[in-house]
Amino acid sequence: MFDPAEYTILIVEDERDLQVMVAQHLVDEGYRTAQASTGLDALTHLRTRPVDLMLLDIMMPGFINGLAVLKIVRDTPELAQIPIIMTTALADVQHVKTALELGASYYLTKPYKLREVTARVEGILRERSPRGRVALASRQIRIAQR
Amino acid sequence: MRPDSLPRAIWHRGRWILLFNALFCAWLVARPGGHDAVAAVDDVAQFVGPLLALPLCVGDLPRRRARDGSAAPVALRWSPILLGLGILSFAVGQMIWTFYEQVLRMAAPTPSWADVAFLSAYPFCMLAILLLPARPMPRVERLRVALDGLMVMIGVATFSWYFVLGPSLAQSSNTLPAKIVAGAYPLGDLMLIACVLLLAGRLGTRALRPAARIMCISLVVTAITDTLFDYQTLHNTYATGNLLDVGWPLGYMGLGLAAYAIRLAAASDTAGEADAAVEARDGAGEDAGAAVAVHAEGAPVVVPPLWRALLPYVAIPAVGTLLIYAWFNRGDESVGPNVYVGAVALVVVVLLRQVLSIYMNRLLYVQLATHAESLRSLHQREHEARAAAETALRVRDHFLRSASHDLRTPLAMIMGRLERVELRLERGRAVEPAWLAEQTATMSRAAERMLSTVEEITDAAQLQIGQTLALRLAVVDLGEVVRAIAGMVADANTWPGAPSVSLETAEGVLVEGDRARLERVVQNIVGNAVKYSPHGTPVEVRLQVQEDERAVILTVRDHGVGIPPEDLPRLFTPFYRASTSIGIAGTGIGLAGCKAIVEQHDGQIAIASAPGEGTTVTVTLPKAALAPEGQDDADRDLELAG
Repeated sequence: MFDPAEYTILIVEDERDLQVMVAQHLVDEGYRTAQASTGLDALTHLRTRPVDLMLLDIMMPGFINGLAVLKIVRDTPELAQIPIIMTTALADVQHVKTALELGASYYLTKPYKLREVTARVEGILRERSPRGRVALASRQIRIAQR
Repeated sequence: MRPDSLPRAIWHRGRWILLFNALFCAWLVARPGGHDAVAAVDDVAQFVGPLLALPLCVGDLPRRRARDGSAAPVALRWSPILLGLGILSFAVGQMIWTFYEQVLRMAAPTPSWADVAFLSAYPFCMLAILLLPARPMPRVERLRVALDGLMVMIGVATFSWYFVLGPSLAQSSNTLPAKIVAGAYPLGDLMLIACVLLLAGRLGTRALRPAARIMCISLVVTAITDTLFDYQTLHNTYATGNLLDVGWPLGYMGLGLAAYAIRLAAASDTAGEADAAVEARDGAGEDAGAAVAVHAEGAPVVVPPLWRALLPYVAIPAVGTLLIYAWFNRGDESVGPNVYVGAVALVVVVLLRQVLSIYMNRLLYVQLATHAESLRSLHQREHEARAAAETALRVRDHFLRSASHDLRTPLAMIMGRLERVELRLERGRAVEPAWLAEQTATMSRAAERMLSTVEEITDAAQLQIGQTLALRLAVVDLGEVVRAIAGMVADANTWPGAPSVSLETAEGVLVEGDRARLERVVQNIVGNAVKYSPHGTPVEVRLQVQEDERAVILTVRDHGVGIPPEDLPRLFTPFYRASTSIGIAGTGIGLAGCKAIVEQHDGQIAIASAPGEGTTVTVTLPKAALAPEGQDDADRDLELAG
C-alpha cells in the first residue's frame, strides 16, 4: 500500500505564491513537504534533513540556479539517488535537454496541472519504493521469460 | 545558314540579293555569247539589280506593337529613303552609261551626265548614314573613336593619293570639270570609307546593329570596287564585262537591304527605346564620369574585342610599307612627297591617340579607385547591418522567451489555485470561506501581475512603432509609491542572502503623472537593483526634492554586477540586455519603457555604472505644486523677475 505520508517532498521555487500553492496541494494529498526559495537554500536543506523527492525550479535568483542544484545533487553520492522533477516556465528545449542529461527524472512546464504534479510524484515514488522495486523486478522477469 | 544576329526577314531578302549576284558572277565567268553579249548583259544587270532593290527602301512596315501611336524618329524614316535615292542615282548613271555603250556604241565621255548621276549617289548615302542615331557615348570615348577613325582615314587617303587620286588628277585633261570629276570619285570613296568608320565606331543602337553591319559591308564593297575601277581605268586595263562589275550591284543592293533593316528597326519597339536611351544620355550631361555612371547603372558594360581596338593601328605598318615602297620608286615628283605628308600626319594622330590613352587610363584608374572605395564602404555597411540584424534577432528571441516566462509564472498560480478549488469540490470536501478567500487573493495577485506584464509588453510594442503612451494624469504621492514598491520587492526577495533594501524618502513628494506607469518605473528600477545584486549587497533607494523645489529626484543605487561601458549607450534600446544579465530573468523591455514613461512626464533618467562596482539609476521628475495654482504662478513670476 502506497502511503504519501511516508514521503517528504522538497519544493524549490522562488515565486512564493507558487511555492506555497504547490506545498498546500501536496499536503492536501497527504505528503509531507519542505520549501526552499533559492538553490543555496535547497542545498542547505538537503544536507540537514532527509528528502524523498525534489521539485526544482530552473530559473531562480542568486548564483545557484536549478540546473546547478541538480548537478551538485547528482555529484554528491549520498544525495545522488533523490529523484528530481524540474519545473520551468522556459519551454526551452536546450534547458530541458540539459536537465535530462544531468539526471532529472522528469520535467514540468509552467503552467502545470496540480494533478499532473501529484501523478508524477506518486509514479516516481512508487517505482522507488521497496514494493515498487519488487513489482518492477517481477515485471522484468516476466518480460524476460516471454 | 543564317547568322544568329540577323533577323529572319532580312536574311530572307539577303539571299535573293546574293543569288542575283552569284548568277551575274557566273555569267561573267562563263562569258556565254562572246564579248559583246556579255558586255550588254553586264551593263543591263548593273542597273537592273539596284532597281530591284529599290522597293526595300520605301513603304510602311506593320509595327510589331502599337506604342501609343508615336511614329518612328524622323531620322529613321528618312535614312532608308535617302539610301533609296542613292541607289536610284547609281542606277540612272548606269543607264546613261549603258546608253552610251550599247546604243551609241562609244565610251562615255568624261565628264558626262552619267558622272553626275554616279557622283550624286555619294551625298545621298553619306547623309543617310549621318542621320542614323549613334550609340550614347561619353565625350572622351567619342574623341577616341574620332582619332581611331582619323588614323585609318590617313592611311587610306595616303594609299588612295599615291595609287589613285594623285595619278588620276595628274593624268586627266586639263579642263576644270574633267579634273573635278577625276578627283571626285576617289574623294567620294574616301568619304564613304570615313562614313563606314563612323558607323563602325559608333555602331548604332542595338536594334540598328544589323542595318549598320550590312551597310558597312556594302559600302566597303562599293568603295573597293570603285577604287579598283579607278586604278584599272588609270592603267587602261578596264573593260566592261570585267568580273569587277559584280561589286556595284552587290554593294548597292546591299545598301537597299540595309535600308530595309533600318525600316525594320524603326518599326520595332527597341528603336524607340534606343532613342530614349540617347535622350537620357543627353539629359545626364556630357561629362565623362556621368556617362560612365549611366553606363554602370544601366546595361551591362560591353567590352569590344581586342582586335577591333587594334585595327586602326594597321595603318602604321601599312603606311610605313608604302613609305619604303615610295622611297624605292621615286620618279613621280607630284605624287611621292604627299606620302611623307601622310606619314607625318599619321605619326601626329598616333601621338594624340597615345596622349588620349594615357588620359583615359588615368580617368579609369580614378573611377576604379572610387568604385573600390565605395565597394569597401558598402561591404562595411552590409557587415554592420548584418551584425545589427543578428543582434536584433537574438535579442527578440530572448525577449519572447522572457515574456513567456513572465506570463507563465502567474498563470501557473491562477491555474493551480483553480485546480485546488476544483479538487476540493470533486472530492466533496468543505470549501471554507477563509480558505476560498485565500485562493482568490493569490489568484487576483497573479492576475494583476499578468496584467502588468501585458501592459508592459503593449507599451513596449507601442514605443517600438514610435507611438506615445496615453497617460492617465493625476497628482501622485511618489514617496508612497516608492515605499510600497520597495516593500513589495523586499517581500518578494526574502531568500537567504537576498540584498537588503534601505529606504530614505522625503514626505509629501508629489508629482503629476500616471500612477500605474510610475509604479512600473519604480518597480523596474528597484527590481533591477535587487535582481542584479546576487551577492546580497545592499540596495539604497532615496527620494528627495531638488533644492529649488522644482523637481524630485529618485536615486536607486546597488553594488551588484554593474554594466560594462560598451553596453551603457544601448540600455534604453527595447529588448536590449547588457552582457552581465546572462542567467538573470528579464524581458529587456523594462528600461526602454521606463525611459519613455519618464520622458513623457517631462523627466529624465540617467544610469551610471561600472562592472563589479554597481549601478546608480537617477530619475528626475518635475515636482507638482503643493500650494494652490495661483500662488505657484506668482512665485514663478517673482523668480523670473528676479
